[in-house]
Amino acid sequence: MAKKKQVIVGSGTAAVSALRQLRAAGCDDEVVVLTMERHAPYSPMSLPYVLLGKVGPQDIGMVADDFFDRMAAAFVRERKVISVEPEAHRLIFEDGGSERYDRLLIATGSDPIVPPVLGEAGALGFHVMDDCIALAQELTATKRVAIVGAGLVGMELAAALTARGHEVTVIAPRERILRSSFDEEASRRIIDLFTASGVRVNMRWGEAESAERHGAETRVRFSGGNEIEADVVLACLGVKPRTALVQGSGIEKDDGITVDRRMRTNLPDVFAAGDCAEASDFLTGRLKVNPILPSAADQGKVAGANMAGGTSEYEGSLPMNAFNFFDHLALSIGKVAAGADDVLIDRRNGSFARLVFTGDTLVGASFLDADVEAGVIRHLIRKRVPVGKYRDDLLQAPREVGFWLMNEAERRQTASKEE
Amino acid sequence: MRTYYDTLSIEENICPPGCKACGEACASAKRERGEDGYGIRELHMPQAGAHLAYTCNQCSEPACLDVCPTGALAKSASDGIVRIEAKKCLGCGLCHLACPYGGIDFRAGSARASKCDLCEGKPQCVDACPAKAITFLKTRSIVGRLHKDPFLSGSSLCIGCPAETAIRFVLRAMGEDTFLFGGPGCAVNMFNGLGTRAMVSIPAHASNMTSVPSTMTGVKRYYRKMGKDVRCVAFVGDGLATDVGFQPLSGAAERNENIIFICYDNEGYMNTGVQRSSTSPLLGWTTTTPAMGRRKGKLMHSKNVPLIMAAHSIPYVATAVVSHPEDLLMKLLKAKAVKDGMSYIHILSPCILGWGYAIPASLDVCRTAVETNYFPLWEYERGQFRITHEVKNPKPVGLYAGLLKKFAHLNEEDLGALQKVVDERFRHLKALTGLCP
Repeated sequence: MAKKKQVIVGSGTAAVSALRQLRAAGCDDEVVVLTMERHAPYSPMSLPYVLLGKVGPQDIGMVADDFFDRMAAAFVRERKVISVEPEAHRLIFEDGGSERYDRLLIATGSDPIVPPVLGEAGALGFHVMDDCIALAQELTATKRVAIVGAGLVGMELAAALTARGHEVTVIAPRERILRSSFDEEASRRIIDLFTASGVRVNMRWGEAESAERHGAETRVRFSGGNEIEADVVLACLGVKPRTALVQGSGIEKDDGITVDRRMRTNLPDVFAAGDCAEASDFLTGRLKVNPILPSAADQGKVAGANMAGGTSEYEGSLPMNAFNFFDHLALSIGKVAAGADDVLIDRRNGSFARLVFTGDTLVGASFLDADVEAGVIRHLIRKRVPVGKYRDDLLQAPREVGFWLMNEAERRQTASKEE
Repeated sequence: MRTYYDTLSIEENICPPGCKACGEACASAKRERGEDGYGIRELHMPQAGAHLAYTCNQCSEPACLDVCPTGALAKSASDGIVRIEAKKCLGCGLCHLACPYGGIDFRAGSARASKCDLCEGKPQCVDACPAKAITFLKTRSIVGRLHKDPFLSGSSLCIGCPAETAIRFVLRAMGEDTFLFGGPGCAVNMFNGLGTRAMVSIPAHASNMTSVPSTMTGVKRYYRKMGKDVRCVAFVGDGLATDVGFQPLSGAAERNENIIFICYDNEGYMNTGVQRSSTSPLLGWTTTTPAMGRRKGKLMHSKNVPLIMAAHSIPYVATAVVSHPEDLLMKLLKAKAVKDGMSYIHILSPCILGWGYAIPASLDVCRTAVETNYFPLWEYERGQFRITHEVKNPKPVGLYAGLLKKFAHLNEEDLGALQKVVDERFRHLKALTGLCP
């Protein structure tokens, strides 16, 4: 059988993990990896740490220098794909060139959301290496930084820039920060810790309505009536799937490119994974964009296995985040909003733990400065381990009881396999 | 080929409640190396009676590697250890979230993730544990001493038979220039094969029950005369070694021939229909020692053949089981090293058919035989007896008997009688080891 040509668009986590899996599955097809970046693969996650100076830009490479050689794949930089022609099995580049494919993986990632009002006044998004380099240059002489948006990236940058000695103000449009990861109480506790470390956090300021630049200074007015002046304005309002290339191609998309459990789009031979894809959610089973690195890694793995001819299925995205700031650690896994579920909360010795149950099963957990093995808790959620009468114990001693429950469940599973 | 690595083995529920010694020893070892955090943590959950320690499993497909944004985590192909490259670690905590087994330490204030690296070969937790719950298994060094398996895949033995594991292990330890000998019994099918093809790629010869030691003697002496050092290894059952072929065996031992004689003891004539042999245990059922009405299996004691062999004053005698491979390998290597006389190894080899237990339980049966002192692991090396695997708190022999249908008819009193034999024999063995300084 003639070798196929597999093309991967993107060079982030999903792309790298798909390539690795493709080869691990024994596929010896020709593989081409195309990226619009001029840098070797890195994760946008690393960028706040580069800004903080904790790691150098040269140390955040996701893979070793010889990775693509070992994977026998061609890696082509600065090659932006602007459209897909599925009939012809062809990709069209921005520079007019094109590339044929037999199987295609779209792993283009996401773009930061920068409202036009802010963008026109020179506010920076923060999602790619070049943003980071640009910001680092801007920041040399300036001091006052306004961060619009109070999601994870915004708060991480706030912590990083404060540690670098900048005067940082966070502007939260609504009444909560880190909405997707923490409930109101945890959010309030985190705000207090930020405030105590010298970050000003302004709540409920609404959307940016206008922004103007006067020399080195930018002034932004918000719908709630407040305004702020800063030397650098950062827009950290989340990300949106980078899907422009599928426009008009017949590849279906909603928020992101919709895929089934095998990471297949509606068209044969076209797969999608990572931030650009809308895949099934672990808890609801419904399609949802979940732009976090572990989901990209898992989806890439499934896509890679299936592109190699396998029948691997994705178990669904489970939101999770670790948020490390000013010597504090906030962890969140799974469901936050409680609805009809049971919620248990523990507040002792300055720590905070919150567990969300549906019946006997844990579906969500968040911790602030607690002694816990977060991965073990995640495992309990993923494997739907019945917690039974140990619910309160799990809340009181999440590390011990969590590990024990996991250990017992694994043991039962091993025993049933042997039988 | 699969690669094997050194690993920590942690016994659960023998940790003293409240003890944190392993984690503290680990953290201080890490501090000395300028690192932060823990590589092992204790776990006490009194409400469930759980007291244990947990550490990184050094997984073969580590979930932590998949989520590291900078590739700071890597698994070494040479020693299997999953390590964090400090320079590249962001301290983002994703690996901590990804590991289902609590193998990555990450907490408020952690600059970086931290994990077990086996202290690069000298794990500090091992000595720190007051209960000796943690052992460092150096499987890599064991496996490094094994040769290619000379058998073809598949076998004509019953599924799950530990004799197959034993013979494959024996020949992998013996290496090249080995001649294999056998006689009527199950294991001979392993190297003769049941069809037309041979099953083994080294020279193998099956003799009569009474002529295995003498055949080996002849081959060994011939090659010695030709100036070639070869190993002659017999792998035979207890019917051959301890009953029918016992006199020739004893004769070869008395002549101190330089041969390696291995008996896999399934305590009966299992190949011909589960008849009793001289190593069938007291009160054990066989087809010729039935348990019906007042008859309770075999009425006589089993013959303690390894002790009899030691009484020949040959250089090396040992007992072994496949559930303790490091112990078995050590003994095989010692036997292999003997150049001036005979070695005898007696391997307890449970029989699924004749003893009556479920297929996957072979190793459990072996292990329980050792843990109850029913089959103590010992060696006799040039006049000195030594117990090679000391059982700290021997379990009652009823636990062992309970695993096997051949003892299903025993009542409390019978078990007491069996326990008495086990205790007496162990006392005897202990006394022999006591003779040696």
